[in-house]
Amino acid sequence: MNVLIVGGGKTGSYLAQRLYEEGQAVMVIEKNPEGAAKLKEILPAITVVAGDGDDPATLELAGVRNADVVVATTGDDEDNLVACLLARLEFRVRRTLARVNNPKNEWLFTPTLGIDVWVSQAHVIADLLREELAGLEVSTLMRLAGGQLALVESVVQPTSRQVGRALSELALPANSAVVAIVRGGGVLAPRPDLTLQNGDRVIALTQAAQRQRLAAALS
Amino acid sequence: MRFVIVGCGRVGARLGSQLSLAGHEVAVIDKDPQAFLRLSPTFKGETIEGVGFDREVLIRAGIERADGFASVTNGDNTNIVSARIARYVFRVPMVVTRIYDPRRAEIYRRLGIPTISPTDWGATAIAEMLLHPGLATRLTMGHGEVTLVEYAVTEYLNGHRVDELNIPGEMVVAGLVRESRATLPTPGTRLQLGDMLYISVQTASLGRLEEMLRLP
Repeated sequence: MNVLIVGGGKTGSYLAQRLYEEGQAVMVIEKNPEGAAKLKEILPAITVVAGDGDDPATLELAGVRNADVVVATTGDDEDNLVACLLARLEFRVRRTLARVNNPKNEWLFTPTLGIDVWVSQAHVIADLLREELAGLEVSTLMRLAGGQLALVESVVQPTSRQVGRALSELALPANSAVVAIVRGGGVLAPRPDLTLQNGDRVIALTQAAQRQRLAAALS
Repeated sequence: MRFVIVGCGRVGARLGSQLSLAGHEVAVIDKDPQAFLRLSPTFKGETIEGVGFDREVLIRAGIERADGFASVTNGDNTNIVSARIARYVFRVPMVVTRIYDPRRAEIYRRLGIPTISPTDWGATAIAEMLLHPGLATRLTMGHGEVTLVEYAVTEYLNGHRVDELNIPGEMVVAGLVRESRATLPTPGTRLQLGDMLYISVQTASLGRLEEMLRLP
């Protein structure tokens, strides 16, 4: 897969390295020439272009036309929005992901502006904290569909009433589904007759607003 | 009508002042409250301190019932983001933005937002004035492929017919002002000394027009 990363700061360069190690073709655009040079030194096998990711010419130079995914990770929300907007709507990249720096700007990160998936650190921390404070037994792994859906994980406690019950017996909230069960390091497909055990990690997809009810169904 | 303007620089302040003077309801947004000092003393609209893509700020400015929206800050990115939000989230019927970078302006225009690129426009107009000093450029169209020029009829053209200046695909006399009245001339109209002609011409044919008008 060809991944174009806009922004070679801490997040962008870490991501570039990870993806490279996983065998993906990675290209990075970094605004600061010194930062770009440094990145090239650390990751010589990666294409690094010094320039603005919100500039169509730079995006083209970095190979946006061959990219399967564009990830915008700069510290500037407007730059991230415009990079994704151009990638998605002008260069027809199939998938765009953006980092949200200021949670106040989350509402802008929608398909209207060319963003498929966004990640907001503040949002993730706030969610985790809220779940901790509420004593919820689910943690949000990922937000999807502009934050409306959540991929969550819940560990089946020894005290849970669901131990020994089959998946089909769970009273899940509407529009929720168990995606996988992680047991002892292995992944099990969520067959309806699978019975839950103490320590199972239940991975489920649900509407963000239904997380509390999902947690209740698993408790 | 109600208009929301983001950016109170020279263009934003002038635009806001003009619309307000014409009796419209206007709200101007700028992150720097000092910028509102640029508005004319006759400005009767609202001034709102904030960023042009902050939802609360936009709602406070009345974007939900706005008839038109313009983003004219000095940041191209801010302008395009707020223009797209105005058009596709708040569904303002008429949205215009200004983008300095001509290449981006063209892309955004294609993506459905009427976009003014003063860089392109200004450069083309200035180049035309330098290259064709006898013809005053009044308008350039597209990226400057077609120019509307103004020309005062001199002794040389006096009595000639309008259609002598019409060349299909190259130039056409689009308007004529005689004694302060504008008309659309017919091909047979005879030109008189002092007539003001408005000629729409392919920019590449400006040299030919100059020759025809015996301009230096």
